[in-house]
Amino acid sequence: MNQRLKQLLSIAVLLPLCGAAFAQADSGSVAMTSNKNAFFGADSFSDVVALPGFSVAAPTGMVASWGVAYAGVSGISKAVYSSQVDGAASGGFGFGNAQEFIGGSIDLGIGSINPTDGDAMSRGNIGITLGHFFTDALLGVSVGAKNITGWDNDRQDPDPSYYVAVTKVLPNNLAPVMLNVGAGSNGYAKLNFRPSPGKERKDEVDVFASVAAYVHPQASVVIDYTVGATSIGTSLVPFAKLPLTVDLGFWNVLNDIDGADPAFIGSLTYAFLF
Amino acid sequence: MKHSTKLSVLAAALLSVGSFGSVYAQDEDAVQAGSESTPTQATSESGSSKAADFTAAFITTPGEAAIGGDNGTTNANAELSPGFTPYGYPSYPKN
Repeated sequence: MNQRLKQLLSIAVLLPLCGAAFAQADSGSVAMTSNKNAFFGADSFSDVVALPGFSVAAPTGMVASWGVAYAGVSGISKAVYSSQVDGAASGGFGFGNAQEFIGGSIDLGIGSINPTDGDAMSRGNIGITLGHFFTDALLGVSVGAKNITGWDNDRQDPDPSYYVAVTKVLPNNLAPVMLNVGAGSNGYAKLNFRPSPGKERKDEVDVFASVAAYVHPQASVVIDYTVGATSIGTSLVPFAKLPLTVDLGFWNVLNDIDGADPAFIGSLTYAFLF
Repeated sequence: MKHSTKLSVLAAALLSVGSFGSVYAQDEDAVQAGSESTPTQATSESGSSKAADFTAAFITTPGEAAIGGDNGTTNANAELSPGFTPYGYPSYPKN
């Protein structure tokens, strides 16, 4: 078995164990929690207006539906190949109904928002995601295309990236788990890929995966494998009635990517519900 | 540092945090000493199981009290994360 796969499987096994310990802490606090609007004051998942995330970088099989829009920013302490602080911004809105038929979202991503590096707003892309959530199976399936159009100061015609993702909800009474797997091309191919004659990154397809344990209605711990890099992180919804998600983590934690150091990453996302 | 060593360190860190959670839970139980009821691990305040509670969060409609997964935030996470931008962007690395 591939060594990297062994490592990921080991981590995936450890994660629910850690979640179980956290869940005990959660259950211990149930009786004394009374203010659902307080900082991490939710008693149950039905108390929170938005669940914490279950992916650091991997696309997911869950898609938005009409009634949700979002905006957010993210940052990385050492951008790959430049080692500078860099950030991105994103916004989008859902359409359709993923449970009744087909849902999805249209998203705008803006790369490099650091105003001090002379490269701010130099890249942007539009993406679309379609998907369905099978309620009985608690299974979400999505297909997506990123960068179907956009702009890039360095390239006249950036190539799109395509993916398919499947997410399985695994409820349990200890620490509910979300398992997410998929495959994508181009931007989802391993960063270690080196072009050669007749072989370009846009033609490459690689797998991605993430697994998360919900250790609290407002907190999840996540392990993610995307573009050949392993990340660990936590996703937090600090206030139960405020759809604000805070993600914190470490990218490339196993130092998988040549020429890139492990880096701190974080994001702040707000969902608008209508 | 070898990958196996890194994995061990990572596992130890995760387990340590988990262990702290267990200790914290015990402390919380101690605070609750004297309370007539002791919450079970699988039961929320409303009496429903955590599994059912979690499931319900994924089959509600956006805009209702609880939304899960399809609220756009996970999508935003993926979009914002460095897996795609800034370092995973199709045009990266720059030539």
